[in-house]
Amino acid sequence: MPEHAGPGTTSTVVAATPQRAVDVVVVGAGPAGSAAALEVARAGHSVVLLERGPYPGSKNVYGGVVYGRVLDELVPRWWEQMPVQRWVTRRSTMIMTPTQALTVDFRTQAWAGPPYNGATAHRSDLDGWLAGLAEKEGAVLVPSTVATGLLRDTAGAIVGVRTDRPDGDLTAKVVIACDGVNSFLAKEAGMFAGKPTGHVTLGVKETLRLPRSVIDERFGVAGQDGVDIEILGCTRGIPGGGFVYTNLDSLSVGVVVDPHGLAGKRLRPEELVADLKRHPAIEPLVRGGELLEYSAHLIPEGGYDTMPELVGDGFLVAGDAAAMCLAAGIWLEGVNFALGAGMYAGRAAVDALKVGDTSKTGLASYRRMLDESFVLADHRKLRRVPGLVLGQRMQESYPAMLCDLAQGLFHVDNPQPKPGLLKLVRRTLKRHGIRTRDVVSDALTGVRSFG
Amino acid sequence: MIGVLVVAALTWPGPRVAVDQLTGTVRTEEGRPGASAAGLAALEHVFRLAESLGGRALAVTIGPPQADEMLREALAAGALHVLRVEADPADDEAAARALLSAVAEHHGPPDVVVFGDDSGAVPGYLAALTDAAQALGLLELTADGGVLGGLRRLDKGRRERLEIPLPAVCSVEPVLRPRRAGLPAMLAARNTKIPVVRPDVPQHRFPSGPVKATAPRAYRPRARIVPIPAADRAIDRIVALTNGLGANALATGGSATVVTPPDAAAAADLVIEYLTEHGYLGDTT
Ligand SMILES: Cc1cc2nc3c(=O)[nH]c(=O)nc-3n(C[C@H](O)[C@H](O)[C@H](O)COP(=O)(O)OP(=O)(O)OC[C@H]3O[C@@H](n4cnc5c(N)ncnc54)[C@H](O)[C@@H]3O)c2cc1C
Repeated sequence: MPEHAGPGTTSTVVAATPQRAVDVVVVGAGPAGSAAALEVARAGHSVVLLERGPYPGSKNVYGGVVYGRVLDELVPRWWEQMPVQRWVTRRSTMIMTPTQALTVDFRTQAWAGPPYNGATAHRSDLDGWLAGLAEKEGAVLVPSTVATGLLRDTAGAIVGVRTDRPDGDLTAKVVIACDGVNSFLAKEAGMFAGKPTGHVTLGVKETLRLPRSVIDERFGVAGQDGVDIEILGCTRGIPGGGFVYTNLDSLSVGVVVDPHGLAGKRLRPEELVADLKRHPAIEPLVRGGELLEYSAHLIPEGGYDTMPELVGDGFLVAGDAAAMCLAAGIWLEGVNFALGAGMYAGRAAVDALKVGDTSKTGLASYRRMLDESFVLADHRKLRRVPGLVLGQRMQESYPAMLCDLAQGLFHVDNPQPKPGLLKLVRRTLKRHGIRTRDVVSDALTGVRSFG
Repeated sequence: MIGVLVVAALTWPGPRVAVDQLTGTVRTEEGRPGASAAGLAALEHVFRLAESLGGRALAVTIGPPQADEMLREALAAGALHVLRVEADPADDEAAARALLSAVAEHHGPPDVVVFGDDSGAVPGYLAALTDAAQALGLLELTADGGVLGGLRRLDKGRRERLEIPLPAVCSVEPVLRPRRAGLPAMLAARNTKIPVVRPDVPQHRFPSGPVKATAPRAYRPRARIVPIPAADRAIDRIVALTNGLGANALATGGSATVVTPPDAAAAADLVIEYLTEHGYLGDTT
């Protein structure tokens, strides 16, 4: 797989004087980029935030639940200003076969008030808000501008970016690449050298409009309370998962699937979304929804082991650009990791500027801050989870086995007496060709990862 | 021609009205920020005109603070001045007045104003208010020796060339892509404060109001006296009386008349003739 092949550009070597146009250039006004620019601007340094879309959020896709806890550090009382659709107070994990569904449904009103947990939000609103915060602190947002390559000095240190505008070179003491998955800049900087390739998954999503009252009724919520349903077993055996999220007056419905698996089965991603919408457990929830938007985007899913080098001379990589997204079936968290990483990248740039050393050594506090925070701690801890959750057993055998087990347990077969639970488990495992050894081994991996 | 003022009037996409198909609820949604393709074409035309006429390019819009972004990009791309007009015009005439008042107050009377062709009747009103030449829906707009030239589509793929005297109000189709602003200009424009004008113009000069509907009444057409048809059988007389085209039309299954007038004027004559004949246009007895 040539995912790391890069854009085919080599960096432009410039005779850089110590004088630079700005202190920091951040490429990409997604959550990572805006968080980085906010921190740099707050510290009083000049920072330019380049965004290829006409406005922040215009090129971005997510389902999307954002876990805002990391914002506590960035924006005090963020929940009073963040453009939220609904606060997630109900999180359901659903496993399904084409005709069955087994749901673990958790609900807590503790998440319905400050300081909250997760919220659904529209990307254009969220990204616009975050970039606006950075602008208010003095960051200069330049939309409709693509960073097409890096500028290096004769010693190879990164000293700026080239853009697609006339007179488009912009020199800076630090470049922070927050250009999302498949980062051309990180590749051009050589950060992915020697790293495994092919670890991207494809997220596709439909936004369906439904009246707010209908959503409230169907999902059993009121006010601004919302629901997040994560689904396993809905992707015809292709590694991945599905989701349904409630916005205020629309639903996000989609799947995240392995593109190689799709190609292998000659399936189009929208067929899987259509399957999901037709499923007897989902159809009553989405019935009558008016299609507002269809979008697709790649997601880095390899986790910790596929992350690139994070620090170079004059260069930092954050967010999806550094594969910091957790995408494994029932987990889809990327915005919180991007916010955290962007924030630390901004702080590291500020540290380096303070001591006048923006070399790899001067910027080393980035890696340290990430190591000590949830960003790399969670990724390290959950490094085996993608392999576990996206494996064949978790994707196909276990959902079918668990659904059958539940069906066996609740099916009343009089005049036969009820079967004993152990017998039922053994019988179901056997029917699905699952060995006890595999179950124990998967359970151990799970315990080791989450324990 | 030093000092010619060439104005790009950019339309800010206001809120969109959407109807929920399930409930019929009507709601308004903010439009996407930024100039329309036709607005951007107008801006590029204005830059080119200002270059050939040796004049000043001004970009103006009526819009909320969110429209500043669009004006900043115009500034970066080459506009000498920008102006945001804060007004809530009730109709296109009021919009034309607000634009004119704001531009005139800050930069003097405009010599050329170019709109995108999605600007409703605003260009027409502006031309009327300023007594300017009006050339709308242009494919091309150029200036040669101080005279504007326009090219406009006609039916059947034909084109007409226009010579447009100054002052002029024009609108253009979205056929030109705007030039790309350089990065230094973009950066400089980011920190520019966009001048805002709140023109004090009367909303309506003409006492025109919305269309008024009277209380609904039953439709009672006026009685007409028609000569007794000359037919022997009663049925033929009834058919002749109840069908304007006579029994022949009934026999052919309806009263539709297919006519193929040679041109629009002849078609209009036929329509008027038909309506008159059937008593819809005044007393014909
Ligand atoms: C279908 C789907 C569902 C998801 N659901 C969730 C969810 O529910 N919760 C969650 O937390 N995460 C979710 N994610 C993941 C989440 O979207 C990402 O992890 C997150 O957006 C990463 O943020 P980022 O700032 O690193 O990158 P991005 O959000 O991708 O932002 C990168 C920005 O850089 C810009 N850019 C790229 N290249 C250039 C360039 N050369 N020059 C200038 N600008 C450039 C882009 O236009 C973009 O604005 C989902 C993703 C998908 C696809």
